[in-house]
Amino acid sequence: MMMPINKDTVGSSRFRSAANNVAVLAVCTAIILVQQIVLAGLPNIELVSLLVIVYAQTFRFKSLNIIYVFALMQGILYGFHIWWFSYLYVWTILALISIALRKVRSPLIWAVISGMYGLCFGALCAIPYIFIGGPAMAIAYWVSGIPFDFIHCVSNFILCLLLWKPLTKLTFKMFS
Amino acid sequence: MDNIPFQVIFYAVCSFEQAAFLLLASGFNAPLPAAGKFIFKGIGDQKSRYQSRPPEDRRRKDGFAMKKTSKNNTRNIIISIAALIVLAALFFTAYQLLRPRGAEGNKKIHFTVLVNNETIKSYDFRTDAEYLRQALEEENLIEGDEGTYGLWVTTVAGRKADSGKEEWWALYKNDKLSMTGVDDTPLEDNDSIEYRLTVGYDDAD
Repeated sequence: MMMPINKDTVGSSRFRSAANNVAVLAVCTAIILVQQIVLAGLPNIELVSLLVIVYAQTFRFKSLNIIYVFALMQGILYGFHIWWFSYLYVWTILALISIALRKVRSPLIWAVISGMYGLCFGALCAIPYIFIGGPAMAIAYWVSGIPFDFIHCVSNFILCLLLWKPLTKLTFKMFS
Repeated sequence: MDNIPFQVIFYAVCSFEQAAFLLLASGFNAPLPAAGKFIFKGIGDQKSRYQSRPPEDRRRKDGFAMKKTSKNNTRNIIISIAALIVLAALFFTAYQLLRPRGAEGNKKIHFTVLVNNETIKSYDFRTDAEYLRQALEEENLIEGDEGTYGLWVTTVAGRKADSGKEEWWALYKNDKLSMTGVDDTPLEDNDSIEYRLTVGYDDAD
């Protein structure tokens, strides 16, 4: 239930906590969006996967707010094309995996998870094409992108191996 | 993308897995020093800091528990890396089996260029090329910019797409929008290739 904004509630810790949550999630969304725009020129090299993992571990299900605002902003920036529909579930899948495996503390295991996710990214994004052109179109889309999924896998693996640990420590320190 | 760079990518993946084993052996995989029981009541809430001392601290007092955890961690890492290698091998095999391949030998191709729904060029030619790019470049029909995803076609039959007006060339093969770029589109005898000048990035169908 939404908290009423009045003189009794504004000063309360519950209100401060809610306002804090909104501010923190907004900053995290801005970080994920800006890095995506900055790295857009590099094919299949992105920090979105890593940030989704870190956010999901830190904020649990609240990280879905970041993911869906990010997806909405992607649609507004680049247009609501077929690929956009895949953004409604691909990052959610990664977030749910990250929440389920949040007790894992090995950078190497997270690098492997991120690498596997990069490898499967094209297959996950091919799902909307089943409804547009049938399974043949979806398979053609997936197969034509496999070489780029390998690039995605390697880049995710390296970035996660190097940055998961410092980013996790930083977010826990800042937001926990 | 032809076979050689793709195999390089595949071998690179395997090399990174090997590097990962070396990192593991060098103790890179030490647990986070502050890792503990993460329970958050609210983001930024001071009360939500670690609710208990990190379990790793307690484990260090118990040599057996520490040893067992470390052993399990190593086992999990090996299993996860093996799973990644198996997945990569499956994808590599799927690509080799399912990727589109052009027919060998001489082929007849019907080529059409449409601008504003009017045909500005339509003719047949023969080629031995297995993929579209080579066939069209032999006939001097396309020009473009090299990109990471192959050739981005900007000019077809002398007509240049004006990116300032959001013009681009949509490639159709046998009346269907191609899922592959000009580099990866395979050719078969009697294929119909059509380039349509499309305005706006929402209009391809």
